[in-house]
Amino acid sequence: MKTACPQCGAEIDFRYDDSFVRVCGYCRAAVVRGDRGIESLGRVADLAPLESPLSLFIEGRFQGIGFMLVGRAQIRHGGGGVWQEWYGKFDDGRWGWIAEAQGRVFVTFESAGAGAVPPWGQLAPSMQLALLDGAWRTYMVAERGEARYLAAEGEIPYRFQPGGAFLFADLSDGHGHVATLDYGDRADEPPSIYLGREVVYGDLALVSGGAVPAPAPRIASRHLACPQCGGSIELRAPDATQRVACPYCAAFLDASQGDLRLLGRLGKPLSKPAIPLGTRGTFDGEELTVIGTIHRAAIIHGRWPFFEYLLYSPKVGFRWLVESDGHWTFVRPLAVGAVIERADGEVTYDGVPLRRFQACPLVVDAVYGEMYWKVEVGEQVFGTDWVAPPAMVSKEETDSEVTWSLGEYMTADDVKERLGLAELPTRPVGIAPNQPFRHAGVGRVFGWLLLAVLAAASVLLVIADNRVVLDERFEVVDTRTSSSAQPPPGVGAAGEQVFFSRPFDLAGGQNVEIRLHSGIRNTWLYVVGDLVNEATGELESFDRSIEYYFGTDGGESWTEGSTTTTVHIGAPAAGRYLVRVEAQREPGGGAHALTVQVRQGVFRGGHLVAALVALGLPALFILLWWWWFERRRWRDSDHAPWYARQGESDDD
Amino acid sequence: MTTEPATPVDRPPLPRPARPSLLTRVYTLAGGGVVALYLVAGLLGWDFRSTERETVPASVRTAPGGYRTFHFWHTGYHGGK
Repeated sequence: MKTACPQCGAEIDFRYDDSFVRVCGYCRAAVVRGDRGIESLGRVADLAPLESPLSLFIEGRFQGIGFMLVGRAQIRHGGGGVWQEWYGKFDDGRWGWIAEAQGRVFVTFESAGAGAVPPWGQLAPSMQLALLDGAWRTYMVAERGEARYLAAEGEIPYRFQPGGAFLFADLSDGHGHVATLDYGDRADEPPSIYLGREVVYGDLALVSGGAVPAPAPRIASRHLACPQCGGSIELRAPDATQRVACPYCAAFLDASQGDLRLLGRLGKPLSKPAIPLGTRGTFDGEELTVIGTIHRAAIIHGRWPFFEYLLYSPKVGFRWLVESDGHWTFVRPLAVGAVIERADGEVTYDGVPLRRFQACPLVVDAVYGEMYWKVEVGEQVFGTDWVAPPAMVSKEETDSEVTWSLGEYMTADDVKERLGLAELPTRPVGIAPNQPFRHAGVGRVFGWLLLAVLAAASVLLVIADNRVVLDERFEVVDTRTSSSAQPPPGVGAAGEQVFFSRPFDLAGGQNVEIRLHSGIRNTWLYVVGDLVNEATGELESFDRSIEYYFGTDGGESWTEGSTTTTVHIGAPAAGRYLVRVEAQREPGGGAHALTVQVRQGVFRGGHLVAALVALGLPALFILLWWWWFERRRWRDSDHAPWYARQGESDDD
Repeated sequence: MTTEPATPVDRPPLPRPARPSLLTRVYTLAGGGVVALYLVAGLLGWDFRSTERETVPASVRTAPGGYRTFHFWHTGYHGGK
């Protein structure tokens, strides 16, 4: 429908019957058509130049349905910051909302009958709502806020009131699905519900002269003069910056209006940031620039200061690098609803349970450089951290908003390398909450090796022959009782008695066990033996004493020694063997029976014990090291696990 | 038409521990060696207890009375409790 602009008379064209507002391309009046005909809602401000690959009348395809962008609006968030919405007319007749905010893109559609939602005033961060988007999904309230229309162009599918404010709530299911509740200016009225999902530009299959436009790859910076001292201040994220601190005079400035306005003066910083503003480094495969720094403090039995460095690139948006006690953590944003909070206060993310470390207020002490929200010195949120080193999940809450983030521990050397810094002024102190114990893998390896050695032992036990190849008995007499001057046959000059076993065959490749047994009581028997290869004369010599004593002492019985001893010999060559035994004994008493038993292919329990000791001793050392490490980690936590609470008083 | 998000960009994977430390790798290699040595020793009948290996010529073994003389066979021992 073509008509004349009521403001300037220029021709304006409503392309679609269901659009509400058309912004006049000549006088920038917002022209609305309704029951009372054509009227002007007032002039809209000029659009701010926000970087985007999207443009008016660009065409694309989303979920298989073609669309064309016919309008856009820029909206200021109540807490600062501007987001941009594009309105696409889809081939199936629907209007789609494509929102760009802080480097992220969302596509939503108005959804009637998505479910009942409470009034705006009853919403609270983290509240869960079930909404119907093809299937029922559970969404979590991320933010409840107020926004204001700034500027627009083209055709708008709702009543766009220049400068008008509206109430909204943003929700997420943590899996990429999002919802926006638009209450307009009436908090108690049922809102318009928009359901959709987060996307990347590639999902929109944009077509522009056959080429898909790409986001601008570099930061378009701006230089503005400080109203306090006149110094030149570089804004590295001019589209998003709301607050900036002058590096020359410490003036705290509002950057949300296109120029810089003095808000006040910052106090003297508690300490100097370790990373200069403007430093660039590669994280997540993207080059990010340090554009600001916040000096914050955790309030828990005193003030525990830490630095947060704001990193930015137009492509990925904002990230953080946090330094506390010389320890570094790289932080990414997380969707609200992505983290599962359990009733016991612990959380699960990506299928991994994380343990609660600390919960306390966090206060802003100082600001350097640029910030994308209206930060104020003294601003306070309530923060909670959960850890599963090297990961840390953090939640920061206010009355109107909840944000989640995912941190990853980084070594100081890694930070220096990524940022190209020669040195960092702070050295790590103590153990960070999410600092990984680097040798934790030893425990897992020990478990696997234990299973392996037990499996090997089972195999050896099953295949052990344990075959008896000789079982012979000899009588060891008391040669001193003989009245003859000459020793009897088989007795040496020193009284030793020599015995030879019958020959027996041994197989090759199997070990040999020689077991010596005598039923002696309170005496000893000393045996020197040889396993003799009859063919070669090679012998394996051994000596053993058999001692067994017993008695009573103070009414308690005792024993000492054993009546049996064993000798193990490595696999001999196959052949015919005999055992030569030379025995000595204590004079007196009757004959002692000495049994010599030879087995082959026996299971060696001693080898298993030796293997377990060899594997277990280093693992035990690592376990003690880990325990010491964990005690130091959890020393500052109010949720230390039991193993880290033991013996706290003697630490350090 | 799919309804699942193609790219949930605000749901990065949980960071996992980096590659094993040098100590962990050394322990893995040494521990693997211990297990392998245990299994091979068991299969081949190796033993690590010290017995003394020597050769006694047949002339000694078969000499009259020589079989019974300790010092013909060994360098000597005298002990006991």
